[in-house]
Amino acid sequence: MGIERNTTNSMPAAADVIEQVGSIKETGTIPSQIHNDDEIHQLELERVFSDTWVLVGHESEIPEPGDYAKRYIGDSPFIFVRDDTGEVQVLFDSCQHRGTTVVRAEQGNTSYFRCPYHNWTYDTTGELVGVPHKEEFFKELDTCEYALDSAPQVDSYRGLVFACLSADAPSLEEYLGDFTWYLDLHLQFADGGMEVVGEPIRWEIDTNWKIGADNFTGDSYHTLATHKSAMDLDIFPPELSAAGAERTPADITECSGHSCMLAYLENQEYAGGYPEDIFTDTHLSDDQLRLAKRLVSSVGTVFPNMSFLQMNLNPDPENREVTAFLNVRKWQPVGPKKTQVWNWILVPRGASEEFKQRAYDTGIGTFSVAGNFEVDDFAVWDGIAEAAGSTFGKKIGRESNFQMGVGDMSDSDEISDEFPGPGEVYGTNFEDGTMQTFYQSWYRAMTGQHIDPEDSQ
Amino acid sequence: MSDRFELRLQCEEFLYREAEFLDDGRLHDWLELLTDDVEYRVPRRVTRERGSEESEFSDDGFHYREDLGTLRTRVKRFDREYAWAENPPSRTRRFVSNVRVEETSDDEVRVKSNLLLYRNQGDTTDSDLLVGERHDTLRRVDGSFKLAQREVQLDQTILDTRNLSFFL
Ligand code: FES
Ligand SMILES: [Fe+2]
Repeated sequence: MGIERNTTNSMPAAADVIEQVGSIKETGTIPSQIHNDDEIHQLELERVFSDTWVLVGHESEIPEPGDYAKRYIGDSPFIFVRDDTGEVQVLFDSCQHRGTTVVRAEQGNTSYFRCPYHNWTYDTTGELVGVPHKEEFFKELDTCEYALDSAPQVDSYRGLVFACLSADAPSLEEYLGDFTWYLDLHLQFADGGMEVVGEPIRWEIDTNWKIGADNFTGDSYHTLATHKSAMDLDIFPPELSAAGAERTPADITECSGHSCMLAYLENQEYAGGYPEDIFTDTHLSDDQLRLAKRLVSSVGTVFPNMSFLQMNLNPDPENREVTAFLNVRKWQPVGPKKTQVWNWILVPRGASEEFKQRAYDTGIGTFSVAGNFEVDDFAVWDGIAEAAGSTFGKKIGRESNFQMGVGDMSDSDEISDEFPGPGEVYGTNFEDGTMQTFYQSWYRAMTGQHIDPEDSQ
Repeated sequence: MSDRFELRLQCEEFLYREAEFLDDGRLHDWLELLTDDVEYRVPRRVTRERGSEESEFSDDGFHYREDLGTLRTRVKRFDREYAWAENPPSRTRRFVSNVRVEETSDDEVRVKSNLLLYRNQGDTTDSDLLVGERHDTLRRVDGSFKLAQREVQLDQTILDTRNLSFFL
């Protein structure tokens, strides 16, 4: 389906542009315009970020009653808090009086939230517990009706807390669907699960939020070019790298609307990034455990904007040892070409302090604002939005290419039958199905369909 | 001239020379200014309420937590033409000021300074500004100073820069 170009207005309408994304599986292309367009950005806030499950944080960030952190879903401010009873709440950060935001700090511990405007005060469950001079000026106000609003749906998966701004959307369990099989490889391989180290690192890049999210579904092709300097220095141990012959690749597409890539050592028991004794079969199937132990790298995106990455890397190949860490990422849209990156490093809760520190250092030293792998990604992503938002780019209907593996481009074969995990699985890391899955989910959300493909068929 | 004044001048001279190496992209010369056991850290700053008992500077969240080996790896990476983050190279200009000599022992000096770092890169008028306070330990090695410890306390909690592909 091509863009209709009419002569009076040469710019394609947002609706046509969105429609074009719907055929990405056949065409392997999408209009670049979706990576920098005011109207599309606005529609995304209303459709994508209001109707899907969005990551808020990890339970280990707020372990004690009264611990809170300020978070965002799309552009909406929320308070992520463990209330007095120990329950996790996601409260809309807008005072019920005149509506200003109540929380001033990024995180902390408190027994109440006091609005700075007229000092209405809420407890950690969001109940209104204090109205100054109520007896004189607000005699009939029923405080029960003025609790802070909550996100309509809040749920957690293996410690990761998500919220959904729509009450009618499917549950988190349905939303993650079969993809939990892959999340578990990363979150449940050790007894006690994972915990966050430190506060998430935050910074802003001049590109569209979807660029990071699509890259993290499994753009292995860019690794060879963008990260060539890191590969040449063995920050990614050569025997484990994307070009290395030893590792077995798999691209997971069409998995309940989510996607990821994995690479593992088929002919080896254990890949060596995590301490060997940390693995347990308590929460994983035999197939999952087998894979988890052999995993050398993986990246994935839970639509819309949560990504994860696990790798065995080494920021100093001469003096250190190869170490695994789990990176959880949120690509928060700030504008059509402004993204706030949130970066968490997670480690197995039961690992030694020494390992946790080493994993953290490996994580920030390679994948963060100063990470010697990732600084190169941020150097090239800005340009995508720049060209996508340009007049000429829109005028000629510039398309972004995701054709790797489409038609006869390569010999990528679907191997779902042999592979133990769900989804449509390909036996290569060099195909664009993971990204096509992401943009299909985007298309569904933008056209008001729930993202689970089973729903929409 | 008092000894203290003389000492401050020596520290300033060290910091200015170091800034020159970093701004001129002489990263191997910069490595020579570091002790073998150097600790280089940029903790994550956290917006906290006034009166919070917790420090604004995280104990366990960092932008950088490096030793000489990891710093060397970074410098080696910048030598490569494919290190896109610095190709084309950032144009940085560092302003180091308010140098305060805090404490001295026989061979070490604790020095605080302010850092204002301007960065522009590529085909754009955009720039990044990174501002903060540095807490350094300088050590005398064979008669001249080397940097043994640095903690950079940035003034932003959310960094307004696409990447930190340079040193502070
Ligand atoms: S706006 Fe919060 S008390 Fe008035
Ligand atoms: Fe990358």
